[in-house]
Amino acid sequence: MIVGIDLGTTHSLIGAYFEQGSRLFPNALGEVLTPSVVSVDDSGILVGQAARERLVSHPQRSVAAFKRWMGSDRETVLGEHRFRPEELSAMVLRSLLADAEAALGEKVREAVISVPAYFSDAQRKATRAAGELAGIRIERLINEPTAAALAYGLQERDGHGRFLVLDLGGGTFDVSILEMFEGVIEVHASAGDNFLGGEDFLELLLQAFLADHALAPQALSVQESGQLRRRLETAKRALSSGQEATVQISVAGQALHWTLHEERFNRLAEPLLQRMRAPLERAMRDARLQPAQLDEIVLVGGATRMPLVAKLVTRMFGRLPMRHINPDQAVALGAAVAAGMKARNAALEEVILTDVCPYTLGTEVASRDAHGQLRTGLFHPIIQRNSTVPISREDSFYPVHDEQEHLVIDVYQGESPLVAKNIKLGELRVPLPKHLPKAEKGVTTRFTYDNNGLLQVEVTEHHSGLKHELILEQNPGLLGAEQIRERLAALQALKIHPREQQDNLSLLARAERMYEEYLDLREQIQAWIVAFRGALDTQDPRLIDDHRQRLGEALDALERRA
Amino acid sequence: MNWALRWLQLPPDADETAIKRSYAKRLRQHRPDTDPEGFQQLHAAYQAALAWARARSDEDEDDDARDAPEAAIMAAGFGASDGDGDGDGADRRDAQPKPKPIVASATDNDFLDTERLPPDTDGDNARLVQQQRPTPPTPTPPPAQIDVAQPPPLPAPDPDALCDELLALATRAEPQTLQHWLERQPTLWSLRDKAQVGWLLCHRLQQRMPPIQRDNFALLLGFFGLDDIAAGSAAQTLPMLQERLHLAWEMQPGNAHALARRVYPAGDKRYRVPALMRQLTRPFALPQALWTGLMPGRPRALRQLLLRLDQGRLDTLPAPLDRQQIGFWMRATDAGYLTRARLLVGLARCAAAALLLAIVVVLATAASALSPDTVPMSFALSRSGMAAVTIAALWAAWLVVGMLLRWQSEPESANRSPAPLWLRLLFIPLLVGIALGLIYGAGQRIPGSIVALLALLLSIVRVWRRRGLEYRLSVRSTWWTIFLIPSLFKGLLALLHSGEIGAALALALWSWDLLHQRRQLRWRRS
Repeated sequence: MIVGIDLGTTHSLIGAYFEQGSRLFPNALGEVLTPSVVSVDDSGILVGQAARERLVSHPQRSVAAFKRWMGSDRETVLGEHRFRPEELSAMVLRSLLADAEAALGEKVREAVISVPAYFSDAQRKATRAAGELAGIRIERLINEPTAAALAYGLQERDGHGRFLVLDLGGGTFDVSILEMFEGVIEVHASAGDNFLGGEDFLELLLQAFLADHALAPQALSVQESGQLRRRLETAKRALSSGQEATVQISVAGQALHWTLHEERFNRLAEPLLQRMRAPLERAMRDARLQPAQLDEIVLVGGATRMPLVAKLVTRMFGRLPMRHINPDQAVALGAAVAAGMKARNAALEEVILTDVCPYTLGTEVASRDAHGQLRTGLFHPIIQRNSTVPISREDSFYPVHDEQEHLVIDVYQGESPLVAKNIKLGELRVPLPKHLPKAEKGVTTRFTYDNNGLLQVEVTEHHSGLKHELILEQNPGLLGAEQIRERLAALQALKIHPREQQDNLSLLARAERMYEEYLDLREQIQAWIVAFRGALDTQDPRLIDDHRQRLGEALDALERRA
Repeated sequence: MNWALRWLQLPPDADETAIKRSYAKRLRQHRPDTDPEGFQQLHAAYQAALAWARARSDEDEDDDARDAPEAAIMAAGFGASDGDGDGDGADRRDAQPKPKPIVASATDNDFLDTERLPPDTDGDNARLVQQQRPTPPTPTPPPAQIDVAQPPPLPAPDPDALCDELLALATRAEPQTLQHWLERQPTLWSLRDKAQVGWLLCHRLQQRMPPIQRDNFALLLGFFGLDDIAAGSAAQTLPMLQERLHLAWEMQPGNAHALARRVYPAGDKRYRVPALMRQLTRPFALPQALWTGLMPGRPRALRQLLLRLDQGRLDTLPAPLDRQQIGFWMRATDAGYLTRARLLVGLARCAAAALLLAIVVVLATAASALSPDTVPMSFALSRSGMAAVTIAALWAAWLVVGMLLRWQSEPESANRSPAPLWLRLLFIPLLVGIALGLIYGAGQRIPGSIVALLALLLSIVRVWRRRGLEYRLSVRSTWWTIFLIPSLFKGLLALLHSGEIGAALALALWSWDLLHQRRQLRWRRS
């Protein structure tokens, strides 16, 4: 069975496709949403809700939102371990896989993971590496808006029409324009911003809070800052259904009270909304569509619950967006459909999906302008962005001077006409024969971009017919095969708390978090923690269950009161 | 008939639906993941067939007056392969979209709360009706039916006026203000209008070339997506404009401080930039120029500024600068060349110096009239006249020697003077010959030695400049020079007495230079 995974910035989900349709697997706590947080404690690694609670109680040993660091070298120090973003994602994946295996009763060997449509080559490779580190094969990565469209289209629309999917998740923003007809789902255009998500809106509130109370960010201890973020997150969600929200927190012994009106939030969020305009415009431009030609605008992603987003869409497109499908689950459901399609599930035989490449790929050239001056550093596109994949295009290049001994074909990814602003993926040096004029020393470069987002470059010399191939594996920030093996061994040595203990651990973590937050009730909470630990030590399942239930209720009562 | 339609086995009058159905059917056999080659071919045929069908329906539209939106290509004609012509066509042929209700159907239960429709603060909802109607710049077809319950539509946004306003703001405002204005413009929220304005802007920037600073220009390009590789030819030509427009902006009277910051990053000579710019932007008049030329160092400062403005390119300096001023000051400071400008400025300076001297002398004489040693006025005036002539002669000599130096020490490959090459090559030996002739033949030792000294000077400078040697003034070298001055002086006197030494040294240096230049000479001959 191939599973589909949504590895999100704030939450992750896992599911698979069955006869009746996509189904998501719940975690040990009974929820389908597992927070993408990893924490280290004395006996092992925690993933999920428990780790999330520990963001407040043990902030030095917990980390969240590491999806933003995928594709980079950034290492997180948790206790005495150092982890790369791929390893953190791998731990989340292992936890999800444990949930899937518990539900399916069999081992999972392959998965389809969703990535933001706008993820770069390096980021996609890092996601694959995370899968390998978790012990599964990742042969297909699906773009998140396409996954949402799959879920939405199959469920609601009976597969007909043109629509725009706007996915505002915890950390990334993606826009996709798709068309469905006769069982074909065709992506016309994709655009996005990899650094725009619900977290950024939260950051705005944090800055406003600190500014209002004239506090420097360093003035808060790590626990207080974690607590503040939780409270602000709750306030932000409250604003989606009300006009006003309040936050109460005690900082450095002082009790602070803060009220946030929806008006003010809209004003604060204005710059972020402006940033959302550009990808939307670009996607429409690339798809060559007018707003009136769209049949639906679909909102996906938890952050689209904010009324700001609906307002933005209305201003730009002149219509209200739809949200028939659960915004948190849409991508995972779609990933499950994609997994089913890959497994050639009979029910999905009729559906074919074509996708596009989100970035322009090309090479650096020099050209002479009208004054005869040579200008270098120009970007010459070979594969235009938003071309349907798989695609293969070629172009011929010639040396600038007769005496040139090498021709360098660099591979760039990006949208700027100057290569300096684009990302370099690799280069190939082709030796040229010395004694030919430059018109005969040309090469033909072929770029082939396949379904899985892998680029192959093949250069053929004109005069000799020799072929050179470029292997684009040498990205410096990524793990090579050797390193993956090493890290896999290291990770397998680490103990992840088994699934059965998750509910107890999560409750303990919650109690510890509340111990940090409610300073005046510490003694009471401490007593409860000690009692619960004692119950756990007895290893009597009935006693433990009983204790857990009572402690859970007590903590709920406490939170309601406070 | 179109090859794609043939490939898909469709009749020539197939419409979009038929094309899509055929594509979908064939896609089952050529799936993208199992048959990439076949899929690419199929997809290419599909795209071509669709384009064909759409183009055909565009032509039919003028006859049929259909109101289906199939022909709506993006109004700005930003397609990567399309030029400006299509943009115009698309504008005119923009089909009307079917009027859609603003509020969605009530059958959606999980739908967003309709009571939470955003508050109509800017009249947005009224404008929503407006945005659904196309606004082409040419005569509009009759507007779509609007529900009478809706508020009356606002006047159509005028892209021309908006573009002009935008350009005016871009030339004078700070980047922050411009960004703020752009983000708040209600017209630019509509995708179609924004594309239209963007296209107009692109056109006008290339036509009018208004002075816009770099940051504002980058902001404009970014906002309208004109710095995108997919924006077609605009993406290639507009960035080249950026530096030119920034330069034009720096030339504006109010922005001399920005110019000064760029041209003199070290900050020491910034204070004089405003005055220099004023001089360069006023219309040329010879008397005024000569008056300015009297100020010591002013012509050289002007030259330095002109060369730093655009990395030495003088032909393309933008408008506020007066071309005649530029020409005059460059010629007036061209060391080693005898130009009318230089002559005039030099003469003016000599005249001013002479006048000053005369005044001083007259005043001194008048003052001495009060003391016992009276000096007659005529004597004083004649003496001052002689001094003025001496100054003029010295200056003329300076000019001539400068020209000779430049002529002799230019690289062998460059020869811009009318004198023949062989003369240039053999000038120094010629001088040496004259010197020796004067010393031995005519018995005039001192004049001969002077000529020999001149030959020595020419050969030293020739070797110095051609080798590209530099003399860096550091503290230690300055001390050494001070110590050496008396010995230098003595050496000079010795040379004056025995011109032979000077002649011999000159010949030696000349032949050394000749050895180095022989390769280039060979090249010249061939």
